[in-house]
Amino acid sequence: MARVLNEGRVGTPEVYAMTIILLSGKIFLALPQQMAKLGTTAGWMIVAVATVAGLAGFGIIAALMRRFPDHSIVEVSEQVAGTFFGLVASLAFFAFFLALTIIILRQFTETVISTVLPQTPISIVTAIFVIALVFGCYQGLEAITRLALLASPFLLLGAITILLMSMPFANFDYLFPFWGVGLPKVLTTGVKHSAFMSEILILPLIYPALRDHGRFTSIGLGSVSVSGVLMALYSAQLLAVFSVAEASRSAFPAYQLARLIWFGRFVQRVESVFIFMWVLTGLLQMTIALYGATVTLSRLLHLSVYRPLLPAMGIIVYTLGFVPPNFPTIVRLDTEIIHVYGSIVSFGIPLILLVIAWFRGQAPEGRGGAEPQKERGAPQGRRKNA
Amino acid sequence: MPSLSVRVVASAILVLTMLLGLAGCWDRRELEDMGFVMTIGLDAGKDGTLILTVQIAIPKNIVGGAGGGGGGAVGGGGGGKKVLVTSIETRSLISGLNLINTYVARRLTLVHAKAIIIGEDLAKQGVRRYLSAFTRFREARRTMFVIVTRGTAAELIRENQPLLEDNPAKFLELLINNSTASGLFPRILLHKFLVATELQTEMPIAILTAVNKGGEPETKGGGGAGGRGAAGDTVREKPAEKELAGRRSTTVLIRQGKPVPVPLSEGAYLAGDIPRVGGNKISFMGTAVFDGDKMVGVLNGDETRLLLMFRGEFTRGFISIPDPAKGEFFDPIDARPARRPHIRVRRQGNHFRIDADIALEGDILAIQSKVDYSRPEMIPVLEARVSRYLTQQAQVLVEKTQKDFKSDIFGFGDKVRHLMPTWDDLVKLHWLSKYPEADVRVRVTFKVRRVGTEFKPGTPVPSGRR
Repeated sequence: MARVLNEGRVGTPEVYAMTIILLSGKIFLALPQQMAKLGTTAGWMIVAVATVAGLAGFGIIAALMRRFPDHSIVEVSEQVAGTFFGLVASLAFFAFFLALTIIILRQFTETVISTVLPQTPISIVTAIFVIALVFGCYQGLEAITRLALLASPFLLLGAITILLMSMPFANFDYLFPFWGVGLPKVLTTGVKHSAFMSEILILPLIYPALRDHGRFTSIGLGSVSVSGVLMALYSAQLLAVFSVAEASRSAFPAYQLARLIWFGRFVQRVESVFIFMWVLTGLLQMTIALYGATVTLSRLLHLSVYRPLLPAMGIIVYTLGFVPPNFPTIVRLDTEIIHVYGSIVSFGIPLILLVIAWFRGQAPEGRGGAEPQKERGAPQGRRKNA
Repeated sequence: MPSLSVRVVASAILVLTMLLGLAGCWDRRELEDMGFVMTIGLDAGKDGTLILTVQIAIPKNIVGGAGGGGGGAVGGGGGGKKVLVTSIETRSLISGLNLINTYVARRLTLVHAKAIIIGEDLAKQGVRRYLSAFTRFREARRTMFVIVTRGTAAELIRENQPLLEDNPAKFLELLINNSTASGLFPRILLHKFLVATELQTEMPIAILTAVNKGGEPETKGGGGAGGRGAAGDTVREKPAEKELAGRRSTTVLIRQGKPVPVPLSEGAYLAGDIPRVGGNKISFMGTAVFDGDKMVGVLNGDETRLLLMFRGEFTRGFISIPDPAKGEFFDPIDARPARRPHIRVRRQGNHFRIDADIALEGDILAIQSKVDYSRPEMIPVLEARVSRYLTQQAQVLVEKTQKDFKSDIFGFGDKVRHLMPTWDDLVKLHWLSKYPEADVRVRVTFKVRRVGTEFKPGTPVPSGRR
């Protein structure tokens, strides 16, 4: 095997920030509106269920990765499922990250055009975004995660400020009837939308840079939980401010919340402050997703570098970004395809891999490993690391 | 690998290029090219058309303070105008702006629009189809005020001539903010209005305004009440339609189950009916009541105060209360909510019982009679009087909303939501059709906290010769 890609080392807070931004950036896109549409008054509850399901999904990933330290999920799938099926799995990961990049890119572009730059051609806005995110990816994982950490206090403060400052418009009676579409439907919709957490797939992809399974697990569980809380809060706030009917058709929920902010004659029209925040969040999300796609590709091609792929990836993303004909289509792709079937890629494939590994006796490493399994087979992962 | 300096220069060029892009060359709009619409008026035209009236700011005159006061400061004709008012017949609101731009050179924009004025006729026909343009169009904001005028919006905008304020936007905002000091009219934003048009549990209201036609205040005793709208009319005896025709509504007090006419309090007027001289011709007073998106009636200032108390939107008001001993004397109180309104809803089958408690507290502002209500043993007498007076008015108001308007503008239905387990149950219940039959019991309690800066009222000493 060729020398594998070395992404360097990344610190825990940095990865926390990166993962939380990637997962919860959805609060600035269609997520709160979709929750109102799917769950009516219990939209926030669907997010809560999806978070729990996402935690379980990450549990599967963590159980799988525990067996193969120092390897990313791309190498793991190859080791577990063989060259062909491993390649299929890795291509699915690649497709997921690529689709994610495109979906976020187009949504942010459309948001910028619909709200602040209506006369600017879409090609220009998209090009600027793509240049920025290719540049970001070029700087590498360490730079991306550090930027995420640097930006995170600002982004979190902004997100909370919108929640607090739109509070005068909130009527929490609008969150009742409590069970919304009914508990059974909340549960099934929530589990179905565990894909809201499927971006967590970035963690097993950068597993070698994390170098510690405990760290990996805590970051995964922590960031899914934090993002779940943020998403649930935004979904609930949108419902409390706009009520079910208006919330379920709000095209830019967070923007509309911010536009409402109104404290007398002097504190109003403040949404422009938050636009910088959204663009930064979007850029970080896209950069991380594009990084995920590019690194997956270079790993499955057994390349030791990923940067030469970036210009091509940039052009692919730029081109595919224009394929959806209009904004409603892109929102539908996001909320009804990517963030529904995404869990098949991010949780389903790892589950299959885990089952195969278990049957083939590829045992976890180190302490806590199942002893009988260790005796049974020669774990490939260990042999390769030796 | 390029050298460090080459990379620094390359990065700098890249960053600068990106900055240029972010400035938005295509979306550059010069301030002096834009015409800022301050107020938008909507009236029903012939054959289903819309009469769109816009009040456009003339910034140089607002900023420079040109023109000084006087009638010519605003409106048609004369130099130094603060605003340009124009009306046009159109099919839809936003496209009407294009039409106005065929004779107004500056490109019209709604980014600074403060208020939507809706003519009475249009309000009765239903407004949602026109107002939805404001929520979709990116320039408009949901924080505009929604105001219904008795008459036409075009007339109101033409007649609106603020005298103390140079800036028409500031005038509107200041005037509407007075709602929090008086409670005589609500402060309704487009957001709140539109949300309520679609709620399963609440109906929308809007600010009521009009060009004043109340005439001058009459100086001879007694004439005031008799002249316009006979005292003794109960509010519910008057159909909403008649009220819209321009008559002033009156206040009744129910004693031992019988309505007893009392002199009109300051809140017993609708916008446009206040007898006054001087000042801007327009005034805000009362509430326009809607069923869905159609206007079905109006409330006067007194009723509006009570409505706001139940909605939890009343912040403060000076309320004149008939003196417990002498009905023709008034003791004004400075009332504030002591806590949030307490509304309980119980359901037995298809029957709903609502208990609504309002707790007010406040100060005595004046005592017109000679009775010393500042004494601790007399305070409960005044408190009981205020509580009973407001409770009775509230009962009449509830009946009016149930029988005349059939519209839950109090938002009692918001508490019904808590009784329903799922959304489908709530929709099936259709609370808004149940509201007129609900058993609503209201209670207002008032506690005196302070008596102002003196205790007992002054007593004039007559010579005794007359």
